[in-house]
Amino acid sequence: MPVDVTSIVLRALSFVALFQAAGAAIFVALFSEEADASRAIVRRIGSVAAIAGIALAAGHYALEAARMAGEFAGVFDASLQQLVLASSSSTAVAWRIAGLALIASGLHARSALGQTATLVGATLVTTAFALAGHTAESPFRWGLSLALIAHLLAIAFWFGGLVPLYLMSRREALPRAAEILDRYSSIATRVVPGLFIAGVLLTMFLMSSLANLTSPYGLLILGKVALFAVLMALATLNKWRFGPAMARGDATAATSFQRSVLAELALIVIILAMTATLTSLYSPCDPSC
Amino acid sequence: MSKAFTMNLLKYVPAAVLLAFTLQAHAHTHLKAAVPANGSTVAEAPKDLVLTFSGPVRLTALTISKPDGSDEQKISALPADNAASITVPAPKLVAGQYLVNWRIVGADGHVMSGKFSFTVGSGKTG
Repeated sequence: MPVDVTSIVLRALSFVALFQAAGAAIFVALFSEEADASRAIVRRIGSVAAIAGIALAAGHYALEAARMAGEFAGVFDASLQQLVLASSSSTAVAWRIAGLALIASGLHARSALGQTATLVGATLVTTAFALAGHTAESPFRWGLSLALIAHLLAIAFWFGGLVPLYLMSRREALPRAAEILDRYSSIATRVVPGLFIAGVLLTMFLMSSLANLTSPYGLLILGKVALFAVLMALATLNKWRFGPAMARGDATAATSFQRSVLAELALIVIILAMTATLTSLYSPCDPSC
Repeated sequence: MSKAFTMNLLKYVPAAVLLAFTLQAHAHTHLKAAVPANGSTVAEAPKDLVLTFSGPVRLTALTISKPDGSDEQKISALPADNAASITVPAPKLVAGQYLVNWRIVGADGHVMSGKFSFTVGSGKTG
């Protein structure tokens, strides 16, 4: 249905914007002191992503009543809008918008208080996902919520760090860029296993049976895992080949690194679109449980 | 990413897999049964449509149409309360095949949709 497609597109775009905003906030907190030449533009990109995220989250929320009705006219149905207002989605979207507003204003403020605000904002944005949806109704809510928040913070760090890394590799001197990339990769080496393990845990818990891997939900999950494997290959290239070559002053390695980062970005955008689809249309264990 | 990453995966993934399988399956709302049943043929047009879900839901949209989606009728008298079993008066149906599309809001706040079909009489007319 067109209303479902529109809702999924808005949801996917809102994922891209909010993870970019949260990731830029984390990147600025971790690396802004070294990144002299790229600091300002990373802050600007984070602010713009946060403002876009607010608009997209609000748009997606407004469309929830239309999804309930199965037609766009549902937006004007007061009883359905009341139902949306009373649902856990309202709390989640309020946290998300508050978090994005903190990120936008904190990145703009350029002070210690502003930096604290951006990190609180990034935490709010990711925690909001645990307030509604599959994990919120589970008897193991707290454990699953922690796994989900860890998974999402890791995505924010990884995905949200890619545009800043790309810009940094173009604007900073090569040895400085290589140094930042090395620090980013060192942290990623610890964070990405957490992302993967939390993702495996959440998926296996929600799906309940391996037989469900053949359902549309399961096939989309398998697609995400396949793309994750490609991402790992690109990340390995960045850490072990392009990073060290950049440290030696090899300018062609910087170009290869930039291409690799753009490919990673494209793959993660596809993964986020797949996630928006599977969380909008399908149940993890439908119809077996 | 690195050797350390591979080592971490080897350490933690088996534990995560074991832990996940020891957890109790989390049920999600879905249509358990319908009257008329999906794929069934009934001799007479049903007076009501009964949808039974795996948990309490709010039914937010219900339509009945020909299998190709034509002649769609929107059923607007939907109950305002959450319930696992929902009975809705059926519109007047003649002999033929029908497709019922439903939309619900589950306890987890997710909008879910689905459909089922049935045939009234021989299904060759209507």
